[in-house]
Amino acid sequence: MALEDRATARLGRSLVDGFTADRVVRALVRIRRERNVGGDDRAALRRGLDLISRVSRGDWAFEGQEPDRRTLGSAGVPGEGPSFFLHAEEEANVRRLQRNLKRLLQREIPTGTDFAEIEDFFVHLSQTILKSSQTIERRPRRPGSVLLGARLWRSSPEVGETISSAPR
Amino acid sequence: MAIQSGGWRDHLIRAQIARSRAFKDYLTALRAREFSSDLPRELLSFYDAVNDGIVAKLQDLRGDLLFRDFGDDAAEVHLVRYSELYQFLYSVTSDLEHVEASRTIVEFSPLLHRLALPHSKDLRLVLHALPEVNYSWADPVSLLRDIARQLEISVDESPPSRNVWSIGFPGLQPGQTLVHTLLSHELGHGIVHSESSLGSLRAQVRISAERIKALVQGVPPGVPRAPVRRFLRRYLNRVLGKWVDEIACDVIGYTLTGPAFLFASIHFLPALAALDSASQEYPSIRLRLSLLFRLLKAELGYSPREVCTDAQYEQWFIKEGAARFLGEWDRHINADAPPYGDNPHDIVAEAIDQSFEALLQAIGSKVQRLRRYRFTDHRDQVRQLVGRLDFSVPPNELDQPPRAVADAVCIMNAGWIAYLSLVEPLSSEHGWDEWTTRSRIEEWVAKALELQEVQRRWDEVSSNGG
Repeated sequence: MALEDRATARLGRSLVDGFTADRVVRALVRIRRERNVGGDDRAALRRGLDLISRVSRGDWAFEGQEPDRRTLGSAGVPGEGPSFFLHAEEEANVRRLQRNLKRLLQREIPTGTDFAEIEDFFVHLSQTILKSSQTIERRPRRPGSVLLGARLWRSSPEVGETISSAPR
Repeated sequence: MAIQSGGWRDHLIRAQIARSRAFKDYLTALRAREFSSDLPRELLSFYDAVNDGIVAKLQDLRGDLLFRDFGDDAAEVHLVRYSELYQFLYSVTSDLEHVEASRTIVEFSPLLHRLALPHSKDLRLVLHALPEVNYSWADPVSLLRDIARQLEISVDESPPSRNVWSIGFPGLQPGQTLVHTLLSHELGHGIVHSESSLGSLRAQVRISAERIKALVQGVPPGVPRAPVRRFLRRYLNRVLGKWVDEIACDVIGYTLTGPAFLFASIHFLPALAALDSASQEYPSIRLRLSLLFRLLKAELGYSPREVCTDAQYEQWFIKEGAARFLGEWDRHINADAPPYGDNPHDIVAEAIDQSFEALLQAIGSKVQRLRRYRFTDHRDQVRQLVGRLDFSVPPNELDQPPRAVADAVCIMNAGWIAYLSLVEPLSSEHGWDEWTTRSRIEEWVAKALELQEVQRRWDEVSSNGG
């Protein structure tokens, strides 16, 4: 569409958000191991709080979904089936996540279940942001930037393969 | 070794490192080129520093005990995200292949600087051709610095230290000077992006609860209403946010360049999409043009919602052709508009339509530093410049005393009026076909922009004592 805040800029912002979510996951892994909250962890957790509030506002939730009368009445009705967003957008869940993240910021480590929920949330968010960024239309460009399918890497971890011979 | 050698994580890390080497080769090849300014070379060095940081980060991941403790899903997503990062790096770097003067609309660079300067004093611009019929804006340096911070890569000290906006224009249309008035919309994106308080603009627009209720009531029996309502509210708010940003950029474009922005929008937008098609990201072209018409009519002293006649437009736009063009499009956009329907995009469009004056006031209060171009204040100057074009002369200077350098935005407005009005008389006078005449008018406008810039600089040097 014309006059756009270009797809590349959207991809860039998606990368900022995605790596931020990964950084929060990393901070949580460290906190779980060390049982303490360091200064760098707190900086990451503060960005995590911002990501939670953006999820609750609907960011990343509507890629490819443009509801109209027909889709609202079809099998795709929101509220049906398991969904990261349905869970994440429930106000009670958002409030609990925010509360527990704030406790972490005050260097108070939540219980096992609450902690696991925070970790689970950010891992899912990280995946969702990646999937969402992969829907951004790209211009054709150099072969060096062809996206790798990691699932293929997982199932065929042959040692010594180069990028050019990798399964795609 | 924290990560098993030969395991999939190790394999993927090595693949990404190989990708970074290929990217470095690409940077090296580009550095061998000549550029007309220092900025592309500075950007290449910056991207190189980012790339080096990524390689070091990937190498560290191999021995990283925390990364070993990532679950497989989290590790996979993190590693694949580097592929996306290289997509981004290739994209912003390949823009630099298209900044050479011969492929770039050099006349616009100083003008865009001057238009944006009151808002962004430290601004540096990269104007580059795009391999598509589109305009674009990006702030690659800030984005990469932010990404680097999340990856704990240090590139904060690497130049460029100032604000860099990368603005793309349709590469197939380098000679179409007049349509490039739309670059002022892209400046709008930079301004909207840097004015965080512009985020509050969407609060000016209220979405009707009644309309949402009606839409929810329309879903088939048996479907739970509460989640549908919640879903819709979030969706509408998201769409509203995106559309308000686009409309704010249109308002800024009009503020900077006046009716020329409307002429260019009418010329460019309907050629690309159906008038009433909207998406999550962009409002319909009809809504955008309709709001621009309201800005024009408010400036000319007409009621913003009335459909004006050709004669009303002719009072202002000097020549019959330009007035007829506006009259026809005013009727097409506004008189022939279908009523708003019962669908989410129409609900947002209607809300913006009804709250436009409040939105306009809020945008105006946030961008007060910008130089506002009032066509009504410059009509006499524009009339003189149209007269020059009528004599096949580049409109870079005013004829009537005091003889002076023409204002660049007046040149654009005069160029549009000539383009829409003078093709027939000039064609018959010179024996040119229509296409040749149109191309000549574009060339005269481009030449005038260049000459007025030279004259302006000469005046600056002279006034500083030479």
